[in-house]
Amino acid sequence: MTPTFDEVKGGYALDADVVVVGSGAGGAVAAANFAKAGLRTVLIEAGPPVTPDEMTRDGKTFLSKYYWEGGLRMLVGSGAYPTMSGRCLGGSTVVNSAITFRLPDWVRKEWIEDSGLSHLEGPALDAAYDRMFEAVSAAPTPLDVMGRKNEVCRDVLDAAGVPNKPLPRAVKGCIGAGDCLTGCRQGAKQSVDRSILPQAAADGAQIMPWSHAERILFEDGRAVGVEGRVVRTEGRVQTGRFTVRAPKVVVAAGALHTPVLLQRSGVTLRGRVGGTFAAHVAGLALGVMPEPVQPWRGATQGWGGFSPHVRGLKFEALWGPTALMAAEWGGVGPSLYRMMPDIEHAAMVVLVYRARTKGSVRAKRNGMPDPRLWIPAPEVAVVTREAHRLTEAFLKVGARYVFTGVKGLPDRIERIDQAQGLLSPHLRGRHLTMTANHVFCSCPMGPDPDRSVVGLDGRVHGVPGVWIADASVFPSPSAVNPQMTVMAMADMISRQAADLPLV
Amino acid sequence: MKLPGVLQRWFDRTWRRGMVASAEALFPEWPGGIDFRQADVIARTEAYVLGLPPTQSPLVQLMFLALEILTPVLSPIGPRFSRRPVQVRLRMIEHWREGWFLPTRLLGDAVRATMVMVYFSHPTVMAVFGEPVDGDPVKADA
Ligand SMILES: Cc1cc2nc3c(=O)[nH]c(=O)nc-3n(C[C@H](O)[C@H](O)[C@H](O)COP(=O)(O)OP(=O)(O)OC[C@H]3O[C@@H](n4cnc5c(N)ncnc54)[C@H](O)[C@@H]3O)c2cc1C
Ligand code: SF4
Repeated sequence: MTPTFDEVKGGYALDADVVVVGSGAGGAVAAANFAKAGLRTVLIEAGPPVTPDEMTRDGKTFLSKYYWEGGLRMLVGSGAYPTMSGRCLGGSTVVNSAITFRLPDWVRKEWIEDSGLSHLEGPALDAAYDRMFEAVSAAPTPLDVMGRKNEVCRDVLDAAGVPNKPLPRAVKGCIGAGDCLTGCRQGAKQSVDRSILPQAAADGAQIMPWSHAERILFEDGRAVGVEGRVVRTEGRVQTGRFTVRAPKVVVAAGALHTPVLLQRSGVTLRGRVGGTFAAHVAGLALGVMPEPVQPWRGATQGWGGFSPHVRGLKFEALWGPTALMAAEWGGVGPSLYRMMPDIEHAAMVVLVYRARTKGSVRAKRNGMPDPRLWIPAPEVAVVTREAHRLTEAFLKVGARYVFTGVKGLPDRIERIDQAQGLLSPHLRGRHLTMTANHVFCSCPMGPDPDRSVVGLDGRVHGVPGVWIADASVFPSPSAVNPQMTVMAMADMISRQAADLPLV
Repeated sequence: MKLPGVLQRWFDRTWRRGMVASAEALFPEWPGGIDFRQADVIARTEAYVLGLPPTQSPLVQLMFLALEILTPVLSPIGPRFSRRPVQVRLRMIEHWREGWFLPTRLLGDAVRATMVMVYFSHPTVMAVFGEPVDGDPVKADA
């Protein structure tokens, strides 16, 4: 099915009806639809395939190999925030927590009414969601794989007055190993390499990993394929070059790499490609409980709830390998040693917020994206106020102390009066500790060619032969975890392009 | 990134000095603590840095280099980072991380985050709080 590195390393030249760039949430779905429609489909992916036995809990090693830029990519602007995305077959769905949500009705209404996505009004989007939810076996996280950390999240959200419940996730046979950020060694997570691509391959799609697309090829103003380099995972060394000639080019390289590929191919649409960009803004509260929590036990993100106080803000439990989680928490030297026994007692609740941010993505000279994000002060205040709410709730349910990561606040908040700083009007984006993993809107969809990058069918305005089918096309943030909406939108886009029925 | 011979040797030597000096400062010998030697922080950080993708590895090396040579500018009165006593280095990083000046705060945070990631993935350190390593069976509510 998938070639070995030895089979591709020298480079290749292929002819097809359609070439899809990127095998993540959007690209996998698109490739599967084209193959199903009988089109000769080639799916190219910059990263390698990764199997459960190749995965490791050693966060730094996993990140280095299977995340873009070794997991060290930063969003710069109001501050410097890590932003992560998977660089492997299946893209970010391999490394995510598999939480599955549909677009909330109010966001869908906004996309239809304010952004002009009138095609989302009818049953087509619901039918696409139905297909996608079934494909990834989405279901609420069972209670027996919660572990104490998710129960603490439940208690904290109860104390904060936030309705809460088990989160729906795309898993089959999850044992709550808590390793989602480094893949899933149990093979339980239904990332698209497991849930979508096997059928695509069975329907004839040719899957080409280790293949980094550098340029879309044009002849007489029409796209005719893509070219790029074959890259070994270790050291990212180029070992060959490839060309795939096809009259349909579908770009699904993710919200950061898609605009870069277009820009490097000369498609800028007067600055609109990558001229916008958004990410969910995040905050956290980490409570050290009196009892052992062993936060590495239990589904990575099994419990959560939507804020009844702020629209577009949700709370979720979270823990991954401690080596990744403790990057900010705890001091250095003896104070770090003193904190270490507390790790076993830690539980974390993160908040994810659809803030009104401004951003952009430009190509760096080395071909990597240079993403920028600015968070206005009033939106920072929302995040820190909700972090205050979480802190108070953690203390109510008995936490010995709480850490929020907000700069200038004490590292150990033992009484709520010590958290007063979270309500300060002087806090800015640079004071937040967050990782921005929900990224979108760099090539927004819309009916007006002067205000958007792709039309409602996913075609790039005025550039024949090029479609976009990934998180880039969101006109604004989804307010919920985006994977299922990316998949549903890619499903609709590729069905239209492949003449498959939408409903 | 490849520099002319002499410069490359200076670069390699200097970032390593900054890295070793940070390891000594962040994980010092202390009763009851697992220090940088026991957690093999120096060799493991070097392997990590050199194993990063080529866009990232030089940046992390530059970070340690900046720490080493810019210290006299960022924190005047005193020599290079590695020539200051361990206690002073420790306090400097703490101070930067708590401070308002964004460049030193980012530098302090980045150095700490890199080294803590290496430190906390050592089996001896993980055993202190009981986190499983590869190969250990894990079950949520066993
Ligand atoms: C740590 C983490 C946790 C998350 N948790 C959740 C969650 O629980 N639920 C949820 O809904 N969402 C979650 N997300 C977000 C979700 O995974 C993404 O929104 C979604 O995968 C985006 O889909 P995409 O197709 O746009 O991009 P991706 O899935 O990132 O796929 C893009 C693919 O394109 C490839 N590519 C890039 N450039 C090129 C190129 N030039 N040539 C060839 N290939 C290229 C990449 O390697 C990648 O495989 C999380 C993300 C992260 C990083
Ligand atoms: S919690 Fe563990 S078993 Fe469940 S999907 Fe994540 S990594 Fe796999």
